[in-house]
Formats: sequence, structure tokens, C-alpha cells
Amino acid sequence: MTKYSELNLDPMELTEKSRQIRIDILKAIHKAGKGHVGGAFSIVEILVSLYYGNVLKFDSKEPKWESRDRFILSKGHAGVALYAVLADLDYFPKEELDFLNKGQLLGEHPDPRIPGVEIVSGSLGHGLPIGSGMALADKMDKNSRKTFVLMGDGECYEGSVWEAAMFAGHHELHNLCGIVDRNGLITHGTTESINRLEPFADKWKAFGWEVFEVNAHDVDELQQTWMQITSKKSGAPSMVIANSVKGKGVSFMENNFNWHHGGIDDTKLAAALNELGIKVTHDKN
Amino acid sequence: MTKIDMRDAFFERLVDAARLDKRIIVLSADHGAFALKKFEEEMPDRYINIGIAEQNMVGVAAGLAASGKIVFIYGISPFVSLRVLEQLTIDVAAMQLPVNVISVGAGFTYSTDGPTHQGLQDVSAVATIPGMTILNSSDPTNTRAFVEMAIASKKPHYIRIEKEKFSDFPGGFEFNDNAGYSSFGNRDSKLAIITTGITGQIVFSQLEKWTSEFKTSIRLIDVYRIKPFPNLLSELKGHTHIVVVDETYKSIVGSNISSLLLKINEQQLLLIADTGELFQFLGSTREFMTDFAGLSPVRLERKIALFLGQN
Repeated sequence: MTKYSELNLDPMELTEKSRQIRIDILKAIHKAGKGHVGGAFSIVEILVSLYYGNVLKFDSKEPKWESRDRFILSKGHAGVALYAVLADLDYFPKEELDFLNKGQLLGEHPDPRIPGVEIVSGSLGHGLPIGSGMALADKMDKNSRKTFVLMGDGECYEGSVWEAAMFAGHHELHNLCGIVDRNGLITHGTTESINRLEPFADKWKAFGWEVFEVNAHDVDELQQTWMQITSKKSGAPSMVIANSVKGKGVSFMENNFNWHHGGIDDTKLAAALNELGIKVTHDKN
Repeated sequence: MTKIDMRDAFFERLVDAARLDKRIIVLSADHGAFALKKFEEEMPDRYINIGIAEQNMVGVAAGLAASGKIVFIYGISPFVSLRVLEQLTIDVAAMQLPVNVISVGAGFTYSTDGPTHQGLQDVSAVATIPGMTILNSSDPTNTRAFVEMAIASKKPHYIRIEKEKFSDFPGGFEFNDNAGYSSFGNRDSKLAIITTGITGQIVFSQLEKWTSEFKTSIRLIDVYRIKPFPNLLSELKGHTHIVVVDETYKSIVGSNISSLLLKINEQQLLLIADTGELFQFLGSTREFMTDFAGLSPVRLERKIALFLGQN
């Protein structure tokens, strides 16, 4: 059992935990045959700092604990990253990662059958409206819970994101924190060449959000940002634009949109693990 | 018999329920109704006009429902069905949350507004969503009952309510919450007419005349729960001629009835009278539009006469 209060890793430990989570993700996708590795790697430090840095309130023994904070992975295609974290926190046995996309608990996209998962996601643009509803309910009931919604930057092409942005800004959902994984890449190219998102921060500000721009892989910076956001008692919702590198952690995957989704064979697995500090030797027999 | 606006019947009951149950929240996509105003005035903290943003409305409703609320969301038929089909599927039905769509503008209700506002495809579209109950109001009694049915079940509902003023079907009708249909008339009659929504009222108003014109007694079965479709297997047996009258495009009631008739496997003839293939840009009264679509009393009478071989 892991209670939020028991976890308060320091920045070095958070970085080490992120390395371990990337290894778990790689192995899971390798066994599954294919998966969304690029967008999973870009959010690892975000997840690790939220779950292991004493930010989110949760109890893995009681996933539906009434007072838990809500974390919504709206960019559901990065589900494997969330699964690796939830498994590591004992929400379910770690062995489940070996059966990703094999008709067991874990599918490519998350759903609430999975302990620790709040909503069905996969189709983009759903998380922020739902998260706004959760935050509104807490505001109505004067609950101190927070709701975090992690989206992709490409997801912000969806109109429903901006419908929710306007709503949350208008209703001053201070207890809502949006996070955008700003890796700058969608499946077939860069966001700025395909359909420009910039000036991205200004757009959120114009919709009534308080915007924080951070390095998505700097756990120190992330922790400081979460502290500011969770101490809010009123005012605007928060938007964290987390500037990230798709495929972060493995050089040949970094900033390469071809690694949005695909398979990882034995050779690539060995090379990737090697970069993450694990030496793999192949038994030629 | 007193006629009541179906929106008043529904919302007055909803106001009563919300006074007792603080979990009930209403979201509107900038759409009003006289009786809904009462909800807003009496419980302003539980009524939110979300603006003209239906996709967000469904998502917000799902978030509220996931936090213990029972949510009713209100808007014009195509905007709370076709426009939000994916949100209803993923945010609501896939998670079986207590979100209840109140859809106003069934069929040609907004008769002057063209295809953008007509409620002709909503039932067919929403029927594709697993785990979504579809209710269709046809008289004040069933319309009021929908409120309690939705609250008690804590599951998703798509509830079509009429803007028209209806009176209750008279005492001959057997109404039962669980059955999903009401019926009237002789079980041994040759002709059975299946209706849903406003067509129940249209056909009922003609029963006496048609009984005389067609020289046969008529059984009327009004389906108010379209999904899950009622078990009408035993009800349909014995009728040689069955007519479905539905003010929608590609009647879901019609396709369910035809499936049941295949199961019965008797020599029964089926006529499905629904709206036509074309977009109806004509702007006029609902009576004009239903006549144009072949669903007015006069047009139906001709169709049924031909169907019965009475030229």
C-alpha cells in the first residue's frame, strides 16, 4: 500500500524514479509488440513528480478514496506511462505490464476498470471538460480536492478543449490544473508547421487561466510549480505548459515523430536500455 | 381533458425531485423553458447555463456525475445528440454515469428552422450507444415518470420531450414503468399501429374515425422506451397488419418491430411510416411538415387504407 503522505522523494530520487519508469515502459511496449513510446517518455517526469513528490493525494490500496485528488490522463495514448507508475505504486501487480494489450487488465488506452484510472480516454479533447466538471463539483461542495488533467499539445487542436478552457476560466476553477505536454510533435510532423499553436501561453491567458511554463523534464522546476498551484484557494485555473522532448531519455527516439507509435524489437530495446543504464547481452544460443 | 406542455410536465416534476435530492444538477446549453425557470430561480446554485457549447456540457456533466451528482443536461435535439455523439458514448455511456439528456425538438418540432434544428436522426444515432436508455414522451404521465425513472436508475438516459401540449391517454391505456409501452384496444384486432412520441397522440386522435373507415378494430401500442426495446413479442402475435408511425428518419422503432416479426414468423404485413430521405428545408408549421413527410392524419389514412387493400 502506498499513501501519498509516505512519498516525498527528493529531486535526485525523482530523477532516478523517472529512469526506472522509462525502463518499465520500454519493456512493456517491447512485450506488447508496439505502443506509443514517444509521448509516454515525454510525460514521465510530470507523472513522477505528481505521484512521488507529495503533490497528488491518493491511496493505492483504496483507489476510489473519497478525498483523493483526481489525475486524468486525457492524452490516453500515453497510457503505458501511467500504467508503469500505477504498477510501481501497487495499484495492481507489476506483472500486468507484461500483458499490455494481451486481453488482460491493461489496454493501449486507459479506462476506469484499471485501479487508479479515473476516466476512459483515447479520443482526444475529453479530459478537460470532464476535469472541469469534477473541479466544479468540488467547488460546489467546498471540497479541497484538486483535479489535474494532462493533455497533449496536438490535443489542443480539438475544439472541445477550448470550450472547456472558456468554461473553467469563467467559473474560476482554481482547483483545476491543466497540463499540456508541449513536445511540439504530432503523428506526422511538428505542431508549428502543420497547424500553428503559438502563441500558446497567450491563448490560455486570454481564456482566463494562470499560465506556468516549465521544463517538463526538470523535476525541481516541476515541484516548485506544483507547490504554487496546490496552494491556491481561489482565482483562475492553472495551466502548466510543460515544454518536453518527445521520446525523452533515448537519443534515437528524441524529437523524432516516427517514434510516436511503433514497435521496439530486441536490438532497439537493448540500445534503449543501454542508454538508460542497463546493459543487455543477447544469448546467441 | 386538460392539455399540458410536455416541458412543463417534465420540469415541474424535476423541480419537485430536486427540492428533495440535492445531488440533482441541471445544465443547459443556453436553452430555456417556462418550468425550467422555476428550477433556476429556486435552486440557482444547481442550475448552470453552460453557453452554446454542448460538447463541453456533456463532459462537465460527466465530471459532475463522477463526483456524485445526478445531472440533467438540456438542449435542442440535434445539438444534444449528433453533435455530442462521441461525448455521450465515451464520457457518459462507457462509464455508465448518471447523466440524463433532456432533448427537446423531436421530429419537426422546430418546423420553420430547417434540417439544422430538426430532430429526425437523434434516436437512430443515440441508439448506437451501448448502455444508453432512450425514452420518448407521448403523454404527461409517462413524461413525468421519466424523471423518477432516470433518477432511480443512476444510469445514462436520452429523454426526448415534446414542446407540444398533450393530454393523457384515457383510462383504456395501461401504463407500466417497466414495460416500456402503453397499449389500447383489442388484442384480437387485425390492425395494430405502433407509435412513439407525438405520433401516439396523432394516431390516437384518429382511432374512432379510422375504426369506422377501415371497418376494423385497431390496437394502438405506444412505445415510450425505445431502448432497451420493449418485449412486444406476445403483443404482436395475431395482428395480420402492423403499421409503425414514427416522426424520425430511419425509424428505430420500425427496425425493432421488423426484427420481432421475423422472430414470430407468421404471415404478418408491416408498413413503416417514417420521414423521407430528403433534407426538409421548407419552413412551415409542424402540421405542414408532417403532411409533407406523409405522417399527417390524412396522409396516414391513405397509406393505411392502401396497406389494408382498401383503395
